[in-house]
Formats: sequence, structure tokens, C-alpha cells
Amino acid sequence: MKTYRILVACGSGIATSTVIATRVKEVCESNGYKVNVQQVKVTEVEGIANDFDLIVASTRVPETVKTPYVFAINYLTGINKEGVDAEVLAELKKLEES
Amino acid sequence: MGEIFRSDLVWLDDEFDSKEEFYETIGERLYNKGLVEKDFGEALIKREEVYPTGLKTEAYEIAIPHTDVKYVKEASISFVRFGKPISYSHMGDPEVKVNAKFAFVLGVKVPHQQVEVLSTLVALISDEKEMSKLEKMTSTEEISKELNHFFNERIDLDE
Repeated sequence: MKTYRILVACGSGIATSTVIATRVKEVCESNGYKVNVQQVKVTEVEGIANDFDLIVASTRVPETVKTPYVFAINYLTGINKEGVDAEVLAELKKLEES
Repeated sequence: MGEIFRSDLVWLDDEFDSKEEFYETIGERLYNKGLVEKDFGEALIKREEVYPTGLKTEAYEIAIPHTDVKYVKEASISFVRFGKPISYSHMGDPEVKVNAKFAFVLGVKVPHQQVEVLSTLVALISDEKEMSKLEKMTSTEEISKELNHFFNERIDLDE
């Protein structure tokens, strides 16, 4: 079974990405996906995005990044967290089928 | 592990004319307590310019200023309730303005050790009932006690 590489990014790579990474890992694993989650600063995303299957971030990532991307600010505001869960799972499903 | 919140790291009805003034002040206060490096406040200002830390939950507008671990000597969370709201940009979309009424200033030292604390903070800011208590309480002791109670209930310290 494939392990999906997920890059989680926020401004400093330390606080909000920690919260997002924990949630993403839980959601993926409880839905049967094997994932490897790495946290970075959003400034580092552009350079390493190609090595990852999916990016989940609390801020916008540069448009040059072609890796699939989910905007996850709602994990922090608590407004419709489930919607973000669904988006992450939908992206993994797409990867699985491609 | 001691308590997460301390009454001497709670400031109520503080008035600042700008984020910069707030960050310089909080930087100095935390530096005097030996919790951060001298340039913590300046680092908060620089980070805020590039990556804002304002957030809007269903009911509240707040900010969670934080910066690189290298500016932090000892992990801490300060709670500041502003006398008048400070204008922030939203973390998710800088175009969106946030009128922050509270700030949780995060001194993050070792991120993976603070996962539960950070997740609980996220749960707190979207808990309308709890936030309204923090809005009304009048003493720093009362607030730090309430916050510790909220966090201790949700974090299993034996893990």
C-alpha cells in the first residue's frame, strides 16, 4: 500500500502547522490511508513541493506550486473543520485513482 | 509539568495604539521574566508583516502571535485582553481584517511537545461559552485558573 507524502505548511512551520499536521494524520489514518506528514514554513514549500503528493496549509501557497493543495485555515477557526477533512480525503482518493 | 497558564502572564484591558506597540511591550515583559530573547518582540513584528496571525472564529476575533523557536527560551502562553481591539490581518487571507479583542502570545520551544496544548488552544478559541467567561472575568488569577482548568480537563498529562 502506498504511503502518501503530505506537506503541511504555515508561516513559521511551528505552531499552526503542528495543529494541522495532527488533524491531517488522524483523518487520513482513520480512513485507511498511510501517510508521512512533514511540517515546513510556507516559504519553503515552493522548493520541495514536487517531492510531495499533497500540500495542506493555513495560508495561500505560491501559484507556481503544481502539487494538489488544500487550504486548511478552518482547522484553526473551528468553522466547518469537517469540510477540510472531506477535501483532504477527496484529494487522496484522486491520487489513489490516478 | 507545571501549570500552562500563569497569572503573571495574563494582562487585562491593556490599551495599545498598534500591533507594533503591543509587540514591543509584550517582548519586553517576557524578556524581563527570562522567557524569551531580547529581540522576540521585533521578531513578532517582522513575522506579522509577512504572515499575519489574526483569526476569526464563529463568535470571536483574536490573534495568536508567535515566531521562530530560536527567540524563545522557555515555553509559555500569555493571555492579553485588549482595552480596545487591535486591527489585524487574517492568517488565512491577509485581505480580511480582524478586530482582535484577545491575543494568545505563544512561546513555542519544542513544537511536537506542545501538540496537545496547541490543539486545546484551537478548541478554546472556538468555544463561545468559555471565551465569554474570559471576556468578563476581572482578575488575572481568576483567568489563569479558568484557563488551566480548561486545558487540564482536555490534556492527559500522564500520556
